[in-house]
Amino acid sequence: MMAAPVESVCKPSAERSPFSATSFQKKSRSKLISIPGTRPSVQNGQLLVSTGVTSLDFLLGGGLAVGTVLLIEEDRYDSYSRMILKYFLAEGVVCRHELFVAAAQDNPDDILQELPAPILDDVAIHKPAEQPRLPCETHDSLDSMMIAWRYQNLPKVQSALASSSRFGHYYDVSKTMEPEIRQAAKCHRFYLPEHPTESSTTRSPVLKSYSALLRSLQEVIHREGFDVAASMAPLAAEHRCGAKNVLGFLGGSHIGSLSDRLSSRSPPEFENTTQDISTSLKYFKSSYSSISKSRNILRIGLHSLGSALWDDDLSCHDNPTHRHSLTAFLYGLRALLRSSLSVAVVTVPSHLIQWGLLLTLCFSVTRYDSGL
Amino acid sequence: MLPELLQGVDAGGLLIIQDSAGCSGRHLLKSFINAALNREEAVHVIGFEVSEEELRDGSQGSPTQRLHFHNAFSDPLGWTDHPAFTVHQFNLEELTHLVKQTSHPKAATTLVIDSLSWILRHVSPSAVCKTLQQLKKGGAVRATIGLLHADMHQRGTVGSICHLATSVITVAPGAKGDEAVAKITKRSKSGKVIQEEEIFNIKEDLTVMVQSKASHTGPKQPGPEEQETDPTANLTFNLRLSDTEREAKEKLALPFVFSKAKKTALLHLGPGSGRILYEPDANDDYDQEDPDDDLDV
Repeated sequence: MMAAPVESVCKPSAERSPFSATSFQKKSRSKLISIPGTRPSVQNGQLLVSTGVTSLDFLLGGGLAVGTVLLIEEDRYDSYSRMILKYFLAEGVVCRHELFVAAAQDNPDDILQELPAPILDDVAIHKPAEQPRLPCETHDSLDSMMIAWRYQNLPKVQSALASSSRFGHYYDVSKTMEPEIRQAAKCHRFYLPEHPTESSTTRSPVLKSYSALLRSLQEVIHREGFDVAASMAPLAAEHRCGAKNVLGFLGGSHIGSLSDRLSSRSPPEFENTTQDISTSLKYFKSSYSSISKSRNILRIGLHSLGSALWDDDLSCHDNPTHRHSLTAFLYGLRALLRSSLSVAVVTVPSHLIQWGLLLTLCFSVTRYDSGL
Repeated sequence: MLPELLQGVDAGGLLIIQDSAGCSGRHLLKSFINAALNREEAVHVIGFEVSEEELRDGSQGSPTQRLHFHNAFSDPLGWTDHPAFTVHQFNLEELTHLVKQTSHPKAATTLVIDSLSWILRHVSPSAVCKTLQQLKKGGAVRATIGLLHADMHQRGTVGSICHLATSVITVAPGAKGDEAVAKITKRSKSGKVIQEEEIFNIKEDLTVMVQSKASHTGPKQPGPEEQETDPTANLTFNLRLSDTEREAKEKLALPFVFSKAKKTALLHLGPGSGRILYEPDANDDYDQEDPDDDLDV
């Protein structure tokens, strides 16, 4: 009689690693999704990520809300704005977020190589957990602890949170990030000269270079599953056609069997409806599987958008021919990010732009003046 | 600063000499050509504005066999049947071909564009920017020097070109007849920006004489170093130990310090001892300083 409950208690704990054998779970205060390197906003519960600059996070009200765009007006020599962009990307590397870097001037790889080195207190983030030492090994080091020697044999406990799940880090600009840390992050690159775009002859509202970038972004967001996950996130204002409710009823396997049954038993007159249902269920199924994957944040860094190297004459002429191109791109970007687990930092050389462009499309605009 | 730039532009550098109707920058450009020739570099000049004779005039003393003049002066837009160089040839492929054709492959090459203004009149600024950026990336040309008449273009065009440049020299008329003021902005690879203003004049043999620095925006000279004082020098009590005192101190047996054997016995864990398993999570990050940290806000 007693064996069954004991077995059921013991079984899951035996499957776990020895370090997580405790069944004690603290009652969590928030029911929001938890992704390393994010936290909910104190004001409105929006999911925030750090810009990498702790003081800038404070100015923005805690951090950058996921699904928004931060536009940075470049300083004249692009030294401070570039630094902010690098901090933003470095923060993503430390938090194991995915990155998307787009540039026209420098190769994105060059930007990634210049990332500042994080100041981490737990250097061993990529090393396996320390094994508890055997008593015989400690003989040599007995003298190392004079007073508190009784604690010598106790395994070292990491009492602070692992730095990858903390919010906001500090960086040493004088050093660059070690390649091992940098290469651990998944990074998507968009370097405009490698994406040949024929000069636009059709009068489309968005330049070829911008639409290529937007398409590439869209593809990454769809492929890596950053889009659907957002329907579960509290930040999305509108949930897509009640997808959440359907998913609440049906597990992933149920959806599959149900759609099979529907398609096999359908009378011909209901074929179309059944097809619709089964395709929509397939959609839900695929979205469900991508949700059940571990969620992550995509950090998008777009460098010097609107400069002449992006084929844009916005910064060259007082009366540019593509005057709405950047604006249209920003609209598209905002719409794309709004329903995704991604966040963008865009730098724009606004000191070159003569045409009075209203950059009110972005969530927040930060202007940097270089102190020269 | 100006002499440093004349000694050589860094690899992958783009130097822009900005001038206006009030003060021509061509003399300075000639000085740069001369300096590059004296460094045994091959210099390719794309000349839209002056003829070859006028450009070579004044540089008799220097070795001119490495100076290659590409004549875009006589027919810049390709109206005749055999133009040497036209505005529309200003792209990476044509320029690479041009440079590889005429110069020794191993020599460091400097490309001089006289002037960018001519090209900007006929080619879109974004195309010019793209070509300049490609030239910066290296390959055929080690460094590029371009003359730009800033008052001929819209502010944004000049800004876009200068945005790409590693160094910008803006030439303005000086107080005396033969003097000129150069405002120099240099961007180093690390992203550091140095700005300086210098008054200079150019002698007959095209050497640049810097008269004075008009202003100095570099870092201020650090003051005389503060004398380091030893805080333990004049104390009323003794902080130091002599050797015999230290020996006596180390001999002293402290309470609760046990021998190795006893320590090992005490440290050896019995079979029934427990272990504390603890996993930190985000909720452990309790801030004692924050009175509202326990509230569900």
